[in-house]
Formats: sequence, C-alpha cells, structure tokens
Amino acid sequence: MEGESDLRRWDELIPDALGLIFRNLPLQEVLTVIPRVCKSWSKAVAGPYCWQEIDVEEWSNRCKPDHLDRILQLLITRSSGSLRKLCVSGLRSNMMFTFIAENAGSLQTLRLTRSEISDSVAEQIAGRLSAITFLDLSYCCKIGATALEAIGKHCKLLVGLCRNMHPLDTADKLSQDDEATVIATTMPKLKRLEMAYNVISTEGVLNIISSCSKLEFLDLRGCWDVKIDDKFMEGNFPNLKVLGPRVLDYYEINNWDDFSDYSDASEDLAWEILAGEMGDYDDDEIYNDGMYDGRLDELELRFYDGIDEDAGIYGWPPSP
Amino acid sequence: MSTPSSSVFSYRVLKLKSSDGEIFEVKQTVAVQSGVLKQMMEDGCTEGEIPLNNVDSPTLAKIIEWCNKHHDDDVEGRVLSQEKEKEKEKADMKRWESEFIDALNRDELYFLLIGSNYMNIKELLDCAAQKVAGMVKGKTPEAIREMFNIQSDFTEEEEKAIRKENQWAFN
Repeated sequence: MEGESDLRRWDELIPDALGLIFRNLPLQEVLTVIPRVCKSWSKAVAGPYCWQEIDVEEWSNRCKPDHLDRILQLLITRSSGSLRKLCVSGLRSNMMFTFIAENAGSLQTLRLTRSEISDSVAEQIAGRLSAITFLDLSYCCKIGATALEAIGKHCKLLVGLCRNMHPLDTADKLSQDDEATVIATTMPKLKRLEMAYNVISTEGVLNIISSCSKLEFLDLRGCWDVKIDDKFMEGNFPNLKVLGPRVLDYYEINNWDDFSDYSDASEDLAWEILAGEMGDYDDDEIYNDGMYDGRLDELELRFYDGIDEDAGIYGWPPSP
Repeated sequence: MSTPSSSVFSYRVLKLKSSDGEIFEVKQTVAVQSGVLKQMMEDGCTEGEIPLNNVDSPTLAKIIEWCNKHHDDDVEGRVLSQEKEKEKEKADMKRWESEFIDALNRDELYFLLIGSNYMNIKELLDCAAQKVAGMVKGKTPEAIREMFNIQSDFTEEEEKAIRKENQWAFN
C-alpha cells in the first residue's frame, strides 16, 4: 500500500483505541488470537478498555453453562467497575445474577434474555441496577409482576424495556395484566416497550399507554386479546407507534402449526426445536404487507435480537 | 462591541493548528462534534489558534471532511412523518462513511484513530475502529503481525501459555 512505513506502531496504539477495535471482534478471537499478537495487545485485552461493553449473547447460546459463568466472571472482573453494557443469554445461576449486580455501578444496558432469573433474585438485585436505562428480560419465564415491580421501583432511569415472550411459554398463563399494571405504575419514563406474545388485555395496554406518556414505540405482536382502535390511537397518542397485535409473523407464516404439535412435549424439547428454527431465521421471507414499511426491517430483527447498538436513536443515551 | 471571551459559542469560526503548523478554519457548529473542542467552546477558551499537537495536517483535513459531512445530520429533532427521509439519509450516510474509511491506507487509518481519539470524535473513532477490526477478523496472530508490521515480543513459552489460557471456553 502506498505510504506504508515502520513509523506506525500499531502495537503501541493506546489501550482505549485498541479496546474499541477489539470490541468489534467475536469473543473467541479477542480471547484466543489477539493476546498472541504482542504483549501490548495482550495487555489491552486483559484490561478494562476492552470490556466496558460485554456482548457474549451469540456465544452464550451455544456454550456450556459452567463455561459461561467462568468467562462472564473473568470479563466482568476485567471491566473493573466500568461495565456499561452487558448482553448474555440463558444465564442460570443465582450467583451470577448477584455477581452482575455487584458490578453494575455503571451499567446502563442489560440484556438477560432466556435467563432463569426468579422473582426473589430480581427483588434482591434490583436495588443495585439503578443506573440501568435499558433492560431486556425477554423469554425469562420465572419472573412476573413481582420482579418487574422491584425493577420499576429501583431503576428510575429506565426508558426501554423488552419483555417479549415465546407463545409456548405464555400458553398456560391466564393473564399478565398484573405485569402491565406494574409497568404502568412504576415505569413512567418508558419510551420503548416490547411485550410480544404477552397474555394481556386491552385494558392492560390502555393502562400502560395512559401512564407512560413518553412512550414512542410499543410492540404488541401476538397479544391477541388486545383490540386497538387506530383512530382512537391517532387522536390520543399521535406520537406512539404500535406494532401488532395482528402482524403476520414468522410463527404464523411458517411454523405455528409445527410448534403447536409440540405443545404437549417437554418444554426443553420444544425449545430446542425452536432454537434450531430460529437459527435459520431469515428476514427476507416475512412481512410484505407494507403497512409499517418505515422501520419495519429493523424491528423484525429486533424482535428476535432485541435492541442493540442502534438503541441510541430511540432515545436512551448512547454509551459515552 | 467586544464579545466577552467567556460566553459560550461566542466565536463563529475556530482556527485549528495541526502538529505541522497548518491552520484550518472550522465553523463552531461543525467543530462541536469533537468532545475536546466542544468543551473548549463551553469554557470560552477558543480564542486564537488552537494547537492540536497529535494531529498532522493530512489527518486533520480528513477529520474536518468527516465533520463537515456529519454536521447538521443530527436528525433526532425531526418529526416522525419524516421517518422515511430519515431512513434514506441514514443509508446514504452509511455509504458515504464506508467509502470514506475504505479509501484510507493503513497509515492514514492509524493517524485517524489517534487523531479522532485525541479530539474525542466518537462516531469517527468507532467507524475507524470497526474498519481495523474488519481487517483483523479471522486472521492468525502471524498474519495480523505481518499486516501491521508488529514484531512478536513473546518467548516461545509465553506464547504457548497464552495459547492455552482461554482456549478451554471454546472447545
């Protein structure tokens, strides 16, 4: 390449710039390739600059549970109090939820999808999550209104909440209106709320949208009991964009029938099948109805992936 | 009438002096993208030439080109009905950004990282960091060293130890 010279000491690049670079690499490369390049890169990976944002969601979906705990402990310890964002899927042990909370002083974005966090653990740790602005507890089946209430009471900066569920997991629930009530009463600052496939009533939704006056986006896909009057919404909540409840969706088009066959099988089996299907998820094959063309592509992915680095555009502060 | 130097944003144009002595005039509304310059404006200390000792003139020219392009692209405030336009603008900007970054050679990229970090221009820094990450991704330590002209400073034992260190998590 033109103008290359020996003067550019890439090995001596300042650690925070190296951290920014390595943050864009898959976990495995950061931990097993980068440290072998040279001592200064190795040092950068061992230090906090690499781990202010820890996103191990992809890896955590396929690693062994005890490996997940060990790696998380290692990385969170390296962040030495500067952890701003943590995304991990399928976390099980109570010890780890507590460990995260103990290191959450600067934590703004937390995604604990598919975790086995319980109401009582959530109550215990909520007090330490007070800096959180965005929280994703989608597909966490062991929590309910109690956990959400504790979070709402302690996380006063919360502007984004994801509580999407899988239809199989809510099939036996009579109502999640109690969750809607605590969202309405304890989370007035929400700008974005995702509650796809929640078993929730029209009243529950009205309760939320009349209490959370700053709400800009509400995902109600698959909340079949909810009846939305478009004219009423336009007149009373002109700034609120609602997705669903009736949007043709991946489940309906391809696999809903398949899934229903497994509804009597053990949860684990059904879940594995679903996980496999979701791996094949392809955003090309859905939604041609054109109703929501604006942000739709983005949203479709988010339904499964949650909110990621673009979160800033929806109003919660981007990481400094 | 003289403008008090303490007032915020009292000067419309900033004079930035690169490490090799070249002066660049930049509008305040553009310069505000740099965290460092923004702070200086708020503190009212932008009178005269502002020396940027870590940024040479070719790099500063690139940085200013970026900032000029991104100036006024803060679309946060616009109303929802313009969403479609926003989407298009966003896509156009993404294309411009990747062309901008891809056109740089490795030296220029290096200095841009240093410069945008020094001036605290987050978006540019992120963009440059992503570019470098893309160059590193999927390569062996040897290939990375070769690409960036880095000498290994490990003994054989040390490298072996590091190789073992975290491998367990990915087996």
